[in-house]
Amino acid sequence: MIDWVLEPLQYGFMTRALLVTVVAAVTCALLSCWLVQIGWSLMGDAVSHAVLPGVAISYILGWPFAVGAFIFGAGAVALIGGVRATTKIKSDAAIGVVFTALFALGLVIISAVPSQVDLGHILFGNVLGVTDSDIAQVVVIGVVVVAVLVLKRRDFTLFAFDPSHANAIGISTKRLSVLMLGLLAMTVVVALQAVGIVLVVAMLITPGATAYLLTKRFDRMLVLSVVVTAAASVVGVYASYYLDVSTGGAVVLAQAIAFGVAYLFGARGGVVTALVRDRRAVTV
Amino acid sequence: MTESIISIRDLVVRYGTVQALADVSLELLPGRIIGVIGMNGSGKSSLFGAVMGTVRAAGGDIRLFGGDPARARKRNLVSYVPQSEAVDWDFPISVAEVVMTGRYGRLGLTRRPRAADRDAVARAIERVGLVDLADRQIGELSGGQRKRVFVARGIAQEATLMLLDEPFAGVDKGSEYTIIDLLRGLAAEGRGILISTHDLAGVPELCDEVILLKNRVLFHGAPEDALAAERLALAFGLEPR
Repeated sequence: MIDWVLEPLQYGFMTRALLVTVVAAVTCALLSCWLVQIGWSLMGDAVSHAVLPGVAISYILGWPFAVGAFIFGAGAVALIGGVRATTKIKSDAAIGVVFTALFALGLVIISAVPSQVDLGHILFGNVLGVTDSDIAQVVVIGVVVVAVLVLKRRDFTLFAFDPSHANAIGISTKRLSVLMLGLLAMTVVVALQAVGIVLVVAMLITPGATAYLLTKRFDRMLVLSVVVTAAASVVGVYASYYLDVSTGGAVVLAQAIAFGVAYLFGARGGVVTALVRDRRAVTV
Repeated sequence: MTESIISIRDLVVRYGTVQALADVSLELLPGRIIGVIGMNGSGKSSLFGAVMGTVRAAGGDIRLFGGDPARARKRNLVSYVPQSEAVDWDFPISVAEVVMTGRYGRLGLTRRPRAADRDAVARAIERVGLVDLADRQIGELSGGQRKRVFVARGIAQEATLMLLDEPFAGVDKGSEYTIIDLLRGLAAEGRGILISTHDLAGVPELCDEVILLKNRVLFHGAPEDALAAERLALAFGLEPR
């Protein structure tokens, strides 16, 4: 058993993959709890796809990938906000138009500029091939995001639960939403190294949705989200090693299985839990 | 002379070309409870929004405690009890945690509560009679208990102005009297309370003054006069019988 655990760790690419995946999992798991409660899941989808041109430009110009990705992630948020504020288009339509346009721009840039940029790696992740510079960016950004989330967690929870009260006591909900969207853009930058652009949205939604089914308290939801997601991610990385399958795919699939277990047996929303409770109530 | 808690002069609110409020004026004095009665679309939400600073006034003047409303909010003087539909009752948060958010304006960067804040929360919960339910998730409460959670938040906040949106919607008759007693007691200590409602439940027992609103003030006076059939009919857009 111990050999089974240790064997992959003798390879540098595996320890790096584990490190990047766990950092991404923890960052996403925390942010995810607020995103699903505020109702910003679709925003996560949008920002993750919109960073494609930024990543492409970064590779072409030799910038750190995080710089280009953040510029386009934040730019997408600003564009969506702008379209929503100045037209009567519904919010989901505004999001859809902006992020698909930016994603398409990314595809065009990559196809137009001959380079060693591998579209497959950007879209589906290449965590086994991360460089030291990638790792440094992921760790620094991840630590910053987690620190801000933990420090401001009570404000974010109030913002998610009752923004009108926040306004009534002079806490700016506008500032909080800008801060949260900035953190979202940074988190996407971290997560896309682990699982690629297409699956980032899973990392942003599944952990919070899973934890929501497990508890009725927000603080516990945060802890459970991080623990479950980190564990599932480690399982995913090992599974990808032994089964020789896509790492990003295995990580997201492991998280989805955790969601499935919570869906069936969770203390709050579990389908089986509810059945058992009902049966007990009848027999007692 | 006592200073008005709310002082509104000739308030106008527009959305595009739609006039939501025209020439609304009101004074809320300490110790008084004013009920704003109107149908959906009568401008009640716009009036509350204007006081809360979420709706921009196109004209007129709003003062809270004799000065700038934003400053009053910063000083934790304004509390708000949302209508039931506006609350996510499945949110993973307990009664005590909701009441604690009333203290946030007094807390530092991370809103970490101190002993004094925990005391204030405990006292507020006791005052509204929810001690046994303090650790419950908010969705596990009855309609009347849910309202009292948010009133307790206003008490913990030590707010002197309380705004309540539809305080009796989804509340049974027994709880209605509990809430009326509670609010009368809070007003008697010098707070000013503004409620909005689309039906008349609790209004005569609770309010000192009533405003019938239909995008402008149709009537402002004593509850018993407001409840005269023809005035109500006018406010609700019916033909007087």
